[in-house]
Amino acid sequence: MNPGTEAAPANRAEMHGGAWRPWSGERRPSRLRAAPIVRAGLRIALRKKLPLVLLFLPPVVATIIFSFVVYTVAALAQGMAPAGLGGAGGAMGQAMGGAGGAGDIVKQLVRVREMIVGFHLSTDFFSVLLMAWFGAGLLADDRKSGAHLLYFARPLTRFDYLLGKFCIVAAFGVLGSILPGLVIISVAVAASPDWSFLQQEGSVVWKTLLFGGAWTLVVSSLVLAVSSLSTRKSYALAGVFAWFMFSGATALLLSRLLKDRDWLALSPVQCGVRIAEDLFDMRLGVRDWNTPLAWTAWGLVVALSWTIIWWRTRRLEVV
Amino acid sequence: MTHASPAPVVRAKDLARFYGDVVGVCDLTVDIPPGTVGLLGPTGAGKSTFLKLLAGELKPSRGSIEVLGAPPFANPAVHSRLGFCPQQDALWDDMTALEFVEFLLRLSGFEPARARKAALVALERVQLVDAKDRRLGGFSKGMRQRARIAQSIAHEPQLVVLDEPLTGLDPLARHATLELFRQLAAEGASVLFSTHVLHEVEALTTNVVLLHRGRLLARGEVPAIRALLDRHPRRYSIQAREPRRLARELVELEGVEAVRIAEGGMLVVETRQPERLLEALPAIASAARAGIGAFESRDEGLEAVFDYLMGGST
Repeated sequence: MNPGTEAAPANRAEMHGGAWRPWSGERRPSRLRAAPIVRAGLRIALRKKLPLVLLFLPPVVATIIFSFVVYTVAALAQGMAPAGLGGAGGAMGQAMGGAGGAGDIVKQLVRVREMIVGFHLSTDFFSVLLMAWFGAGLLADDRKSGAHLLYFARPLTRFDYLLGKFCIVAAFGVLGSILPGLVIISVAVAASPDWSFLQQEGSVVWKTLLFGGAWTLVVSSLVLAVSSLSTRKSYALAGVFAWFMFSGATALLLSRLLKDRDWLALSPVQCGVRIAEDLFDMRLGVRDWNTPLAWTAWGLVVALSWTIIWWRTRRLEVV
Repeated sequence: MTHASPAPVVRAKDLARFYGDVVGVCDLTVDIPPGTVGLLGPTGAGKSTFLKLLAGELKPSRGSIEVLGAPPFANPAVHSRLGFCPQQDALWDDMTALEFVEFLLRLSGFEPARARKAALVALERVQLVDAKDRRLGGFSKGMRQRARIAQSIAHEPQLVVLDEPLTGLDPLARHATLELFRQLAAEGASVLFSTHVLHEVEALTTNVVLLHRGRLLARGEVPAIRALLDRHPRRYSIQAREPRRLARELVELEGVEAVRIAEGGMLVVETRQPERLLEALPAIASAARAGIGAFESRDEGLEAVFDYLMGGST
């Protein structure tokens, strides 16, 4: 006897079919279904004060210092002693090559641009720290706790889920990578005579956005990919830093052993340096190698990361 | 109450889900009617897999499943009408209980103000409203379970699916949760919950689905399922002042297959003709001056049904 098949018709349990209420809730398919994820993720991240202070302090201090230096240079370009420097302003002006003529102003503006690029490259490290710390647990912790079961029992697609998670990491990338650059540019613009920085070096604004955006995309994708492969945040965090260190060391080693700088493309950080040099029209001289290769390497990192993320997110159904 | 056959809330046909070589569920064909239904089975029977399939968390490897008339996998229309309480911990420890429920309501498309209101109502229903501003990380196991239940009912779903919802609850909370399920059913929602603790189901419904090794073992009312088990005689316990004398008389009765005296002097009678026994017992007991103190069926309960169906040696 197969009790399963024979028992099925017998159904005399208490029914509520008569009172079966129709759906009365509001169904509003929003285009911003990822927004609550971003909001909740940022709210939780901002709740932990110590990591916030420790991770944001260096970029904030660097931004303040660079802003002051840029302001000073711009002020000196106009032959003025910057407020707060007092008599030291004159000495500093002489030390920095003096100022006064139109040619000098242009020269100083170029120096300001170079400072901004240097600032970008120096804050990249901090932005990696920020994105790694706040992003490493986003997918790993969901997997560990089974929280994805709550997400996917809601009217939410996997794309929405990933978009929300990406935006959380990217928000910290923007705060650590793009915002400080924009602050310094604003200082340079405000301090330059007759907005001359904007007129002469206005392209720095969109280049900053492009470079910062691309860097944020690369690192965010990488962090999420590692997170999706990890079972807990600490592993993901270690994985991200291990990857950066390993790729950097390998790239340098191979480029020196094989005497071919194109091998530097293996390191996203080296790619970033090369792309910044090219984008901001600077030649630091020691890293003159194939720029399209650097962009391609970044693109490959993003593509590979999202392939992993998508594959792992699909696998989230298997628990 | 109605005895008409309403459209099933869940309809599975040849449903199968495999994890590599491991069978989650296999060839499962079952219709689950509206109302309160218990999903039963031992650990590894496929209960969680089946619930995840019908919650749209898993894609069937084979066959089909419809929930509220539509396939649930990646179907927002179904998810809007379905509440799911997973067995996994699935909580964000840094959120407060209110934020947790509110957040999931926002994901369901609720406006902020309405989400807040509905979250408070849900927390009140699971008696967590006093702890609404406490972080989930500081909750006890039972409180965490109640928070999970709150999120599954907050959007007033038409079908509430709960995977082992009573696990970790203390007796009071367990009682309150069962009462909540009764209320939900009375309000017209369908409640489908899994458990391996049989009396939990019996406290709430007689309508069950039994799974074993990923396959359907039985579905329907417990007594109806029991009636199908003709190969097993019915067992009755009789407490009598003179059990041996009564046993001698009963063994002669038509249909009685065995009579034994269990621990405590309880008489256990096995018969294939229970109606005959019930009819004749008063006269026999009177004639034998046995002095019957208690009489009860030993295998109307789920425990016995489960043992029978599983091929136990009861």
